[in-house]
Amino acid sequence: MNWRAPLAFLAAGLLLWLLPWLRERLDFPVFYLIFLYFIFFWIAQASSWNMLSGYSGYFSFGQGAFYGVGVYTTATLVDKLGVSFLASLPVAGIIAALLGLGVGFAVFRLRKLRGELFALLTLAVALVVAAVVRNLDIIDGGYGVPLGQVPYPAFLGDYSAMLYRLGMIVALLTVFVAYAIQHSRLGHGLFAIRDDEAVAEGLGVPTFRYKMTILAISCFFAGLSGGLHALQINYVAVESVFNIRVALFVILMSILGGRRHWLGPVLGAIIIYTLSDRFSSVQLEFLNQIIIGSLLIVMILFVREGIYSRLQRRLWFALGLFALVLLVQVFGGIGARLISQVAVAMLALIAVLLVPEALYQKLFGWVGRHAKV
Amino acid sequence: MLKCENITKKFGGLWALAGVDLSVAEGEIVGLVGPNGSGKSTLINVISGHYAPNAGRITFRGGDITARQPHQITRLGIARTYQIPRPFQTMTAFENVAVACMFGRSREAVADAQQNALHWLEVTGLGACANFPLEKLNLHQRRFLELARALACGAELLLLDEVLAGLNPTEIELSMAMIRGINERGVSILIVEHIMRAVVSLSHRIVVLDQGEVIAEGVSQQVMRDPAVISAYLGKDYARDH
Repeated sequence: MNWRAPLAFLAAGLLLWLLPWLRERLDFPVFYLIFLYFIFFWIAQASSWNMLSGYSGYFSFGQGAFYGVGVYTTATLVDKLGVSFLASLPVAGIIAALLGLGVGFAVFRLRKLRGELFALLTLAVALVVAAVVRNLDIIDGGYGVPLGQVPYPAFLGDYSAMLYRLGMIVALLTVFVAYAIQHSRLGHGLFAIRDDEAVAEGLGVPTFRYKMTILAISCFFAGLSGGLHALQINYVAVESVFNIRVALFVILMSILGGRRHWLGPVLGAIIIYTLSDRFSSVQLEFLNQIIIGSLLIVMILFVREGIYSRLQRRLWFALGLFALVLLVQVFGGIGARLISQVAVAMLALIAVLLVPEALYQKLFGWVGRHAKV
Repeated sequence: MLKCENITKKFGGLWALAGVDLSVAEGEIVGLVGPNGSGKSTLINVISGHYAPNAGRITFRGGDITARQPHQITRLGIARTYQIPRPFQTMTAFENVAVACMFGRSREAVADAQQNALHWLEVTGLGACANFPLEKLNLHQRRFLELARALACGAELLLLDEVLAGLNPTEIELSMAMIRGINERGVSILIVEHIMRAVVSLSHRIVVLDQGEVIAEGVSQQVMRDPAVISAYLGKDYARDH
């Protein structure tokens, strides 16, 4: 890794930091900040899941548990113990990481471990944690935790700007760590574990230590992002926090985007959240489920590497079409909101990327040949 | 260099290894032969740390490695190959070897590993296949890739598990020359092999296993004439008649 990557992430962070300020000047709706906060939330969650499950191949169904532990750590610290909100965030990450280490210690020490066992155990942990939280009065006890007006430092801006900015920082941090891991010794070791764990161990990869390390890092970011999300939820309740939604969505996003590359879950999170937000805004949630469900089936059967690697190979054609569809809508006055127009353009982009390789070469091969960089 | 004393390994009620003693000296090629099910592969798995023995002691250069994890044993300088090649399927040949450079004895940094991986591919004659996806490599090339990875680990003792099986005569000649070349670089070798002609010609010394016990040991040509060995391979009647 060179110095350019951290600088690029830092520059992106600074630019994004200025957006709420720009919004006040240009007077576009607050809705966009909230929307972007949710994008950042899902990017952080999906990247956190992917650095464990995508890189190492151990499928986790317990993202919801680690996220939920983060939510409740912040809720408990802020509401019951009077800890400041910002200080509670790293604690939320650490508590989630400790839970992850506990799970890992139980399951990774078995010599004959298979992935199914890990998947089942993480699913079970989510159920157990929910039951514990529901029944412990000190945490929730079944009443829910209202967070109401939580004080925060003034430099973060108004409430939605604050959520947006913190969400952006957490997302960028998570993605940067995912990027750094992919290019590090740890990442190469994890990829080897994913392909063949026994061989990896035989070539000198300390498999137990690496699995524990990545589990802790992954859970830390799940908890950190969850802790921040507690403020967005505002009224924290067991049923809304510990449902299967988070665990399923992060898997969906990573499978759609691609699990071999740090950008895969980022891409998946942006696309899936945008689409489901748009569909539910026009009361078409059932259609959303059908589309996302069938997309998942197509991805698993035909595009196992995810759309990111296809996007790399069809970059100019796909981006060109995306821009074209977007511009036609904007200038043609089709659709009410920019986000809806973006969502439609995204569908066009996905359609291009789903075209099988052979057919694509036959139809559009000339694009690649002419626009080769 | 390597010393196994009284190694015992039980699977359920079956004694896969019933007190095996075996040693490999610096620079030596030791052939490990025996009928199917005699415990050869089990012994390789025990030495490399993949199975924990029920009893016995293994030392490498004087240090006890009996209870060590496989990755620790690799870092001490013992590397193995698999009978059925097990390359990392989603990586290129080059990336496969780079992993070994990164995690083997020398623990190279990512950037260094990517330079040295090519060196080991060239040593094993795979330089031209560096960026091939795995499915383009044939069995012979996959076996050499196993060798390249084991060497890239910085191995001083190689455990070769049937590297010649399934190869054609030309490939066998090539592989034997390769194994001799590796030995001449100062790497000691413990080789499990079914092809007698090859193992007799390669090995300085042969150890014969049968039903988890060492039944003969010594210089290649003599061992193969030992009545116990003939009887293990071809049955008692054959041994008595000849």
